Amino acid sequence: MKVGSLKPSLISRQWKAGPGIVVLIAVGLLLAGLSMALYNEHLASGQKLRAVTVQAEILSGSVAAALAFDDRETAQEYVAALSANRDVEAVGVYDTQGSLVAGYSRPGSRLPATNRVHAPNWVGDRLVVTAPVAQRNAQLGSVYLRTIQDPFIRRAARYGGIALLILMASLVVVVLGVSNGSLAKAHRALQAEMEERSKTEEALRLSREMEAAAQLTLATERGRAALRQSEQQLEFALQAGRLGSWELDLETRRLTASEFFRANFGLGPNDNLTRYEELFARVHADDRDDQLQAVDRAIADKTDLETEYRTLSPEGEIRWILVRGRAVYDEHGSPVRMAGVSLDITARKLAEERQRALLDELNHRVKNTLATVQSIAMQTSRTAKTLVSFKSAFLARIGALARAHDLLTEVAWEGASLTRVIGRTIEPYFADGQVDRISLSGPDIRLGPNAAVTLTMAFHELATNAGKYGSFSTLSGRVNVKWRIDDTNGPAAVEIDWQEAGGPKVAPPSRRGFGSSFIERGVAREFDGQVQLIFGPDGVCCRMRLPISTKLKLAA
Amino acid sequence: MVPALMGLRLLVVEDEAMVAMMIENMLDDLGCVVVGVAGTVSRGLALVGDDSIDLDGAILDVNLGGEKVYPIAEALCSRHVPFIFSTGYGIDGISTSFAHVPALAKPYNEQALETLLISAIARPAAS
Repeated sequence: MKVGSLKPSLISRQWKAGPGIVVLIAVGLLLAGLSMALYNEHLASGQKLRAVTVQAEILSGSVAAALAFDDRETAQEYVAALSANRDVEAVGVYDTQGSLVAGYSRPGSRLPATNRVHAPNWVGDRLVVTAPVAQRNAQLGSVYLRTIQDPFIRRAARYGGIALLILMASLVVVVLGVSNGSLAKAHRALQAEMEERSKTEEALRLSREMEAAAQLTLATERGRAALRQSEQQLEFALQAGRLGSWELDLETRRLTASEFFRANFGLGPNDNLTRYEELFARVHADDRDDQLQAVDRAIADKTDLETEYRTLSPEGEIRWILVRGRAVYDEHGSPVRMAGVSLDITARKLAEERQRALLDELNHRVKNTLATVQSIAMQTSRTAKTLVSFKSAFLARIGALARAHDLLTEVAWEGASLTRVIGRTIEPYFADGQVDRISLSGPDIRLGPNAAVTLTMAFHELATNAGKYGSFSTLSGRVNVKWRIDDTNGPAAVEIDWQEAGGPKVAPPSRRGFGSSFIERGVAREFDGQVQLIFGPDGVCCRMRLPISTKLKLAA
Repeated sequence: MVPALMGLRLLVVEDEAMVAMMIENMLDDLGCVVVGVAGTVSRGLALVGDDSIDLDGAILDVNLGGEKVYPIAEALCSRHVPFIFSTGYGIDGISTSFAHVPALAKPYNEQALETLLISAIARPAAS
């Protein structure tokens, strides 16, 4: 666009005054032609004058002798010789008196009768020249010569040619001028168009630049807005997720930490946390090596940092935090900074610990239960006389174990009720209308898992025995279970009294079976207490004195 | 009856009566003499501290109703009485202080008990 804009402007300046010059040249040419014609006319008349004067003087010289000798014939010959000249209209020779001696005139014209010498003069387009005829200072007469100027037609033809040439030249000039004018006009139009176009292009370029700038501005604005929005979203997300954010300059060790990140270390907004060393000091001593290794490994391997460690607040409070981050590297691959987020995972860690403990506990209980089942199987097999009796006794004992577990599950394995343990064990032996045969009374005693299982098994053995041989075996038999806390005799203990009544007469068994030894020895040893099993005549009586402990205690 | 174990005087510390009785029966079957069964740490310590009771070894449940059996283990160590653990928590549940002590994971059978007793407690003279 810019390249062509210089040349046309120069050209335009050259051609700008074109038409004026053309007219001026044409007028000049006309004037020059006119003046040339006038000058030519003037020259021609002068020349004519000289030529005619010379002719007149030659005639004068020629006719001098003839006049001196009054030889008219000779004079007439000289005159006749001149008549050959077509320009000569009239010629005459006069004597001293002025009378015509010899003469000639073309038809239609006349010679003057007398002649007098005078200066040449023009009469219309005819030149009249007179000359004296003398010889040795003697006046002999005069001559008269009248010539015709070039006829107007001839002159007109001559000047017409010049005029036509001038006209043609003028025409050429005018045509050239006009064509130049139109060329100049076209050029001006072109120039104007080019200027206009150049302006338009400039405007277009400017508008493009402006548009580009506007686009850029818009894009920048949009970018900024998007950035602001994403920053806000990030902020919101960080806050909603209770995520701390941090950035570490790996060269200066300078640390930029958000409010939540500080909180993860038990630090407020005013506490110092601008140096990596200040952070490191708040990491639990046992976790520092792991933390350092994790950071170094993430930077070296160019992997994401993900590490969990404990932090120690200035007040000594321990928090578990999860830190994720990523290093940023320069063009040479050297790490320059690291940034990431942090999250307080104390609750999760506690939950994990709880879950782990629960799993361990579950595993423990399953194993213990299996050991219990194993024991039941072994004990039952040792005393059962037949496979059938083993089967019924074994299944009954497994059922009792299952009931104990049910009761424990109801209370999430925390403190099964003694009332429920006894009630659930003996209720199956009585029909719905016979609950008055059962009497349970005592404070609310809570049993730990093992205690609940052991006492369930113990009361199961008592109830089984009562069902077979004791008060549960008749329609009128009863059972009265009372318990109380006794702290008058040494450490506090629960005294449980199982008393059967209304059953058949009881005799002590000849051989103590598994049930008896379990109740008397097993229970006593487990609780570090005393158990008495009395096969009295009124019915079986079982007295337990079990010290209060973590596994057996009064309900809170 | 296992000759190597015959007459070994053992203490059983187990807080579940049913399991304790099984161990007692197993030891009876192996020819051992159960000199005491304790369901609590205090009872166990009392038995270990009783000089009148001869002890050749002990079988200790690790968890006694929430209490750890380690005080009894320490008392046994000071009496130079060998012992083994019997635990439902698995081997990992045992304190690192007693990591060298052989352990039986519940439930276990008589063979496992016998093998461990022979390797850990049986007197070389008797084998």
